[in-house]
Amino acid sequence: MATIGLLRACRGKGCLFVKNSMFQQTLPTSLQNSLVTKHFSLTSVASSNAVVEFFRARNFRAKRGPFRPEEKRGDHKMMASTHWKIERVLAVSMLGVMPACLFVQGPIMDTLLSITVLLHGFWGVDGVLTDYLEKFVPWIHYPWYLLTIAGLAGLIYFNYNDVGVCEAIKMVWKL
Amino acid sequence: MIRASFGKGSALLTSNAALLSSRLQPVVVTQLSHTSTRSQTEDIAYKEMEEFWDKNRRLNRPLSPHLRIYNPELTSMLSLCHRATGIAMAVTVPFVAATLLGLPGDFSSYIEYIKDLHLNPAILTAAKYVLAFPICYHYINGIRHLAWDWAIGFDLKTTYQSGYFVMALALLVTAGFVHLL
Repeated sequence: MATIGLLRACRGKGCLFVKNSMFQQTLPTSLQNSLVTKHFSLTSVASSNAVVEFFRARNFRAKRGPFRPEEKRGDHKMMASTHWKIERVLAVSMLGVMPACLFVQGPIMDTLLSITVLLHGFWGVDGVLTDYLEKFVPWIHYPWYLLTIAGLAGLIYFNYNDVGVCEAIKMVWKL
Repeated sequence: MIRASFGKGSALLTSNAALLSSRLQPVVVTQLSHTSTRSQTEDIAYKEMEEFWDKNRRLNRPLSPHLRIYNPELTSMLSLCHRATGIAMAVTVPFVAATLLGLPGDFSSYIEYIKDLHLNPAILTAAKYVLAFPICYHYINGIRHLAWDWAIGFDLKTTYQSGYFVMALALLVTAGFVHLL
């Protein structure tokens, strides 16, 4: 799969999947050891990772934290656990909506699909941004929020003035 | 910091004021701000952490390898796939919707345009696979994730079995959608 190919490319040297295989054992020890990092010394050591070196050269600082629940909550008043529960409620509701849209179409199903897919997608990507990108780009949530709003506007327009998402999917599938 | 203070009691309320002043204590309401609720120990900890990372940068200390040395497992690969399909769909839907909002003509005209291209049916089938697989995979693996959220099927053996099952089922359902619908 593409994800596996991507991981192979990230690796650089050595095979990603060969778990202590015969092939890996027949490699010369110098090549086997190159898969493990050198011991660091107190003198400046440049790692062989290009991405790390790119950011290190620019004195890039990732934000450390937030660590405490109060810091994590920020300006929100809702408990994180409540938000999590709402996310799961939406996910469980989508378990029903998705098969239903195969059998029942129409404006109500269009609206239901649009809202659930957008909301679920918004919270999902928001989580990914918080996990990986927020420490580097703290304002990353705002563009995503804007894109979701624009998407909602587009879907409302589509459902009202154009064929609607269910009909659109049917038309695409008939191609 | 906001401190609530006693209001000046009027003459009319002196008796009440006397009664109240004996009951009420002055209430100090502090505005919640991160630094005021953080103790001195925590401030020292944050400072030491910053200094530690400054030293790491200064000495150019290498990072421990993580992604490069860890063999891909079914669990991590399926989780990555779940996230990748989720992100792909969540980004595409608003993007396409917003684009359609801006583009001229209605949806049928674009369908007609694609029909007029007279593409090879194989390309259209491949495109349908690309469209159907993320939804099917994410949905079926989503059920697996929700089961974990209720602490069902968390042990390694069940995780692996359900993982293989989910991937096989997702591919089957995708093929079903493409060829049968």
